[in-house]
Parts: sequence; C-alpha cells; structure tokens
Amino acid sequence: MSAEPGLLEIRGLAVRFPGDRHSVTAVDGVDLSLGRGRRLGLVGESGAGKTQLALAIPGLLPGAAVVGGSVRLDGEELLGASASRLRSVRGARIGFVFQDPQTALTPHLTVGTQLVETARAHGKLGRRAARAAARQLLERVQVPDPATRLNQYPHELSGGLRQRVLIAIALIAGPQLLIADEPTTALDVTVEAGILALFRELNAELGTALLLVSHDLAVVADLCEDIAVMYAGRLLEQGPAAAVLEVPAHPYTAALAGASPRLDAPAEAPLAAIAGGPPAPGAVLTGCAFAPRCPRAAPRCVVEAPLLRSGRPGGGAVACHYPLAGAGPP
Amino acid sequence: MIGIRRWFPGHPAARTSLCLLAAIALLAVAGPKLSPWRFDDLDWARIASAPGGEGQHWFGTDRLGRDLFVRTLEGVRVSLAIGLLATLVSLLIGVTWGAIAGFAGGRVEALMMRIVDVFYSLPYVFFVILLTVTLGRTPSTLFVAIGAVGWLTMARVVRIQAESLRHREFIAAAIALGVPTWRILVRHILPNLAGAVLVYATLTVPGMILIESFLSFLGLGVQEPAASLGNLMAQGAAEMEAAPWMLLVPCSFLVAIVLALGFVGDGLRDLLDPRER
Amino acid sequence: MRYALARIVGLLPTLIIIVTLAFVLVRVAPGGPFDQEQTLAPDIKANLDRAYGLDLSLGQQYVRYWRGLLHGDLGPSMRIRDFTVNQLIATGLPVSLTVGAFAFALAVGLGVPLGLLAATRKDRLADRVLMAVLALGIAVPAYVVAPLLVLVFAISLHWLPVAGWEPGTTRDLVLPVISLALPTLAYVARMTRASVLEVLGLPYIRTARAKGLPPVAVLVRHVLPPALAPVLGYLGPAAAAVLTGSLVVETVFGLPGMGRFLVQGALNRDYTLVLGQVIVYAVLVLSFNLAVDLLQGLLDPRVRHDRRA
Repeated sequence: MSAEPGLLEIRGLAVRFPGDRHSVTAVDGVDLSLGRGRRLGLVGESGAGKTQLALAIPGLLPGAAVVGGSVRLDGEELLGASASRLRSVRGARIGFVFQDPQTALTPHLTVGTQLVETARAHGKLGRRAARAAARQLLERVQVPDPATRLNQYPHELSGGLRQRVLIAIALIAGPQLLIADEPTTALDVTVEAGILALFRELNAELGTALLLVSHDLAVVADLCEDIAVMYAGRLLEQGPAAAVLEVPAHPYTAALAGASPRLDAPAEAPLAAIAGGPPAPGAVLTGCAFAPRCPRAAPRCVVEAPLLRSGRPGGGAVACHYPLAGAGPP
Repeated sequence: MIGIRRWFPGHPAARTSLCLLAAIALLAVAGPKLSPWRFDDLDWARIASAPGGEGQHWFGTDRLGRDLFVRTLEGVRVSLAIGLLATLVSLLIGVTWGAIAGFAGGRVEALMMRIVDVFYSLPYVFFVILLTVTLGRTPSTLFVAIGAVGWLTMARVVRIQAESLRHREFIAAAIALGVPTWRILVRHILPNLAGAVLVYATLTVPGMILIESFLSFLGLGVQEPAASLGNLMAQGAAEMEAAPWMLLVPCSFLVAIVLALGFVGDGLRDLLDPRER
Repeated sequence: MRYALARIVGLLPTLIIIVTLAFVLVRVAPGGPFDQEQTLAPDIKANLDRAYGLDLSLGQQYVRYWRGLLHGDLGPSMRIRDFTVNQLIATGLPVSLTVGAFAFALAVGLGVPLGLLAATRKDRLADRVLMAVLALGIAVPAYVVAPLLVLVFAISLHWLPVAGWEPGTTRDLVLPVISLALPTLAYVARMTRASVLEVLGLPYIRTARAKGLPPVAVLVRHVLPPALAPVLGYLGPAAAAVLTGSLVVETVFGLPGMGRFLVQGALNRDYTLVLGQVIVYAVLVLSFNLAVDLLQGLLDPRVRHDRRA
C-alpha cells in the first residue's frame, strides 16, 4: 500500500453486540485502506463480519452495536460523527448497494420517487431537474426505457433491473465511494455478469471507488484490483487481487481459493471443502482464529494471535505465523 | 414455588400475574367463608358504610347494607365462571369451524371464512344482546350467548394453523392411506392445534369477562340479587358521589383479573409459539 | 370504480343475512312484548297482536318486515306507544353519532401519533411509560373509565358536569367522548407501535437511511404508509367498538342517544325496536368498512395493481 492516505482509512475497527450473558464480536480490530477510484474486494465466508464492517463505515449498524476504532473518509472521522453529519455523508459521499434487490426497495414508492428523493436530499436540484438526472442515470445503468421505469413500482421490475435501480440510487448524488454488499448473490448468473460489468464501467467512467463485499472469490477476482480476506472478524490477508489469489500466503486464502467454484473448471469437478466450520459467534479466541481448521497449525498458532504484517511476496500483508510460499516473517 | 421461576422464562410479568390470579381465585373460593356475612345478607344497621368500618365489613357495605367483601368475591366467582365457560363455548364452535374450513380448503373454506369476515365486521355485542333477549338472562344462558358470538377470532386462528397442517407430509400420508376425513381431523389435526388454541383461549377469557360485565353493567346480564363484577360496578357507579368504594372495589378486581390474564396469555404465547405476531 | 360498485353490490347478501338472522333470533324467543302485562284481557291481547301483526305466521311477518324495510320503514315500536322505530332512532341517533364521531376521531387522531412516538423511542422511558398506560387503557373498559372520570373531574374537582345533555354545549361532551375513546385509543396506539417497529426492521428502511434521507422523510414516506395499513384495517372494528361502548357511556352520562332504547328494548322484548337498531348499526358499520376498504385500495399500489389485473 502506498504511504499517501487513501480515500477510506479504517484503523482498528471493532464491532461488538453486547448480549445478556456474553457479547458477540463481529469485527475484531480491522485495518483497511482504499485508494481513490480503486476497487477493493472484501471476501470471507458468511458470518465472517464482512457485512458488519461494511455497515459500520457509514454508521448504518443497528443501535445495539458498539463500534470502536476509526473510520476516516477523505481524512474526516466518521465514527462518532453527529447524526446530521453522517446523513450528509450517506448517499452523497458513500453510496450503498444492498444484497437483496427484492426487499431493498420501498414497495409503495415508484422508482422515480426513490431516485429523486435521494438526489434532492443532497443537492439543490429542483423536482424537474432531479427527475431528468434520474432518467439519465437509469439510462447509464442500462435500464431499458427509463422514462417508463420512473413511474413503475419495484414489484413491476425484474430482480436484475431492481439491482440496477439500487445502483442508480447509490450513485445519483455522485459519491466518491460505492459500497456493494453481495450485490449479485440474489441474482441469476447471467444477470450477475451484466451487473459486474456495469460496476467496472462505472468505476472507470466516474472514478467512484468500490468496496465490494462478497463470499465469492470468482466475483472478486473478476472485478477487483485489491482483495482483503476476512475470517471470524479479522483480516487474514490482503494485497493485489491477482497476486493474492495466484500465490496465497495464508492457508485460509489458499483453502478458500480451492473451495470456490471456477467458471472455467469442468462442472463435475468436486469442490475442495474446508474441513470444520468457523468459530461460533461469541466464542473467545486466543491465537489465530483459523488455527482449529488449519492444516499447518502449530502449538504457537493456538496461543499467540498473528499480526497482519506487510512484506507478503507480491505485495500486501498476511497474518500468519507460518505463511505459505516460503516467504514472509518467520 | 421454586418451579414457577421456570414456567415463563424471561417473562416476570406473566409469573407475577399467574400468582396474582391464583391468589384471587383462592380468595374468591375461600374468602366468603372467613366473613360472617353471606352475599345476600342485609345489615340494616350499617347501610353504605365505608371499608374497614365496624361490623366486619372489610370492603364496606352497599346501599342495602350487604357486605361488599363477600359480594365482590361472589362477583369474581360469577364473572370468572362465565368468562371461562363462554370461552369454552367459543372454543368448541371456533375450533370446529376453523378446523373444518382449514382442512376442507377450496370453496368450502372460502365460504366459511367469508361468513366469519361478515360477522367480524359487525358490532357483535349487539348480537349478544339479541341472544340474551332470546335465551333470557340467567348466568347459564349468558355464557352460551357470549360464547356463541365470540368464536370468530378462534376460528381464524385455527383455520390458519389447520391449513398449514394440511400441507404437511404426515397429513398427506394419512389422506393417501384413505383414512376417513373425520378421523384425520380428530386424530391428527386437533392435537396439533392444541398449543395455538390454548394460547388464544387464554387471551379470550378476559374479553369474555369484559363482555359479561358490560352486559351486567347495562342490566342485561347477571340479575340482582346475584352479583357479578359488572352489576356491582353498575350499582357503584350509581352511588359514586356518596360511596366511591362501591365502584372502586369491583373495578380494581376486574382490572386486575383482565390485566393478569392478558400477561399470562402473552407469556404462554412466547412459550408455545415463539413467532412474534 | 368498477371495483367499488362490485363491493357495494357484494354488501347486499350480507345485509340480507343480517336482517334474517336478527329477525329469527328475536322471534324464536319465548314470550312476546305483551306477555308481561298480566292484567291484559285475552281479547285485548289478541287485538294488540293483530295490530302489530303478531298473529300472522313467522314467514308472513318476515315478508311484511322486509316490505317495510325496503321503504325505509322499521315499523312501530311495540312498547313505546305511538312512536315508530324510525322516530325513536331519529331522536337518538344524532346524539350517539356526535359522541361516537368525536370519540372515534380522538382515538385515531391521538392513538396513531402516540404509537408512533412509542415506536421511535423504543425501550426508552417514554415508550415504557406509554406502553404501561396503554396496557391499562385496553384492560379498562369504557364502563369503568366513565364513572372514574366522573368521580375525579366532576365530583372531586368540579371541572365538568356529572351528566346531562344540552344540544350545542361542548362541556357535556368532554367526559363521554374521552371515556368512549380511551380503550380504542389504547388499542390503536399499540397497534401503530407494533406495526411501525415491524416496518422499521425491513431492509428497504436501511436503504432509505443509507441514502442519507432526513429521519422525518424516512418516517413519513417510507415507514408510515405500510405501517398504517393494519391500523386502517382496524378502523372498522374500532368503529364497532366505539358504537358498542357508546351504550354504556350514554347510560353513565345520561345522554339521550340510541343506547337507552336498545337496552330498554332488549329488556321489554320490543322486537321491532331492537331489530331496527341492530339493522341501523349493522348498516352503519358495514358502510364504514366499505369506505375504509376502498381507501385502502387507493393507498397501496400493489392492491391497486392486483385489482386492475
């Protein structure tokens, strides 16, 4: 990573849900940087804390969550910012695309209304101008016949179109950063390819940085320049996507890369599954979170948690006492 | 008493309410024996005397010198009995109706539930009043009249449950095996409805008690000299300028019973049916 | 529009069922309106029966009743001499409707904002206090509230009259309206709270917040329309509850409304009077339900869409 501060700088981010007996730690001290206009993929199994991390950035976690650490957007601290300050960031500087387009749009409002209200919440646009902007943007995200769509309700659109509308909503106020949480998980594979292509085009054209949250390595490999691998609330490895996926340094990344279905592999090829399951939420972790499932685990791994250290071959950082590919800290 | 803690985990209100109900029921049964007075004894020496006064009238007396402690507990008994019996009547009708509709499906179900919808939208207390005209105004006809009108929600609850049961494998298997319909209803559907029915029945009792006291308050329910919380309150309301306790005593019992039953019902629902409604 | 017409036509069978049911219920009762007057000579009773058509067969009486009903005639009262049921209802209905309409407006107009307040302050002090008071409000029926309010505000504090009715005075209305409104208000508020909380948990509310909309806009545009749908659906039963409660409230406050006729009629077996009132109430409630139903259709695009299809 370069020394120059990026667009998004996350330091020691922790998200905890206090409970009656014991609290659940969803995100456990994560550092993450995202440069202007870059595309970063955040991968991990479900329950790894990816979504909580993403939601924590614009302060969208439910009120019960306790958040610690620092989230800076363009140098400005977002954690602990006032509600009105956060509101001027949400939508305007950070756009958010949610997982399930079936439920993420308000059913009783037209597509146009939902676009226009976002534009008008952040700009001095008049109703007419906002509507024109909405129509243009729908056209830009390749929604056919945008003038008609503006007057339609979400249930009248297909899943793929709805996701395009959600992307348009996230982009209409011209944000610097687009956070997409599993944006294609609920969609068909053919629709998925179109949406991913759209993300790439928009990033190239508008220069909007992208934080893509996904459990699907293939999607991240396809779309992102950088990758961060998350497990049980912690970052295990990060770096340039190509380097990390081709020569993983962390055993977990390696296992994940082996477990993820490849489009170019024959359909009958068996998936390499990772033995065991992730630690239960709320479990107290000493040592490396992946140690119980790790084929390379040594006694030290169970006792001492490895820190995320740079110096990964090919760039980036890895949190492992005994990284693969021979290199790295002893 | 140790076991009670485990009955409604995380529901202290339900536990407290259950204890309160038990205490009230116990008092209603045993209480009158503690007092020297009977519910229709007239104490001419102490007419409309305040609570705690002389003559062992712990809750005072009414306009005719009758002991309010004994009369209130008598009223509690009558009101509770009518509430429970009316719930039973509504249970019988509602469960039968709902189970048949839910199990039959198709047009029969549509018609049966349409009838329920129609009645549901009507002020049904007026039909209770019509029924009291028909059946007369004794406690025994009263609970039939109230129950005969109050089964609609029960039918709805049961139908939804029965319908979801109908699509389960073991019912489909029974149908495929040629088990007669009535047998499927009695042996398979009804036992599986027990939880939902129990919860809803508990929530129905306070409503039934309220209707009874409503009718008695208007003079259409339990008749003098018999006591029910409703007609006690009607007399109390008439005398409240001079003797507010005549109103306040039966009022407090009614409110306590209705609230406690509501909490117990909520507790039961969380216990037997964890889905939020 | 076609849908509205279809719904109105759909009401007719319902009405026929109600009239028939009410007629049968009243008439299968043993004894008649003139039985209690034991001094009545047999020939006079026969004359009375003939005058009111009670000597005819039940079927004939039923047909006769319908013939009157279709002309808007509910028949003569059997116990209140020289009055027709229409006349009695005409004196009572305006009073009952005035009190009922005010109480209904208060219950909905205050219940919805209170529920909304509780939902947005969930688990905080305001919410807890409000919910406790509302639980009490539901358990305590109008016939308890009414005398208690009189006890406090009229007898102890002398702020308002104990009872009575002079047309045009609002002071007489205050206590009856409040006691009639309270239970329904409590129910509406609790329902609103539950429903708003449910909608607040839906994914699209998160989208709305992620867009950076002001909280008021989220609440008004995204939360309220779906959250109020069940409340709207409850308006019919709420109107029925208010009408029912008015029976008692009128008794406690001595208001000259419909309530006393219904109670007297039921006590005296005044067939036509009870029947007439039940029918009038049923028609009122049914038409109100219809209006609510049509309104609901206008508010929800999905319902509208389905109906178009």
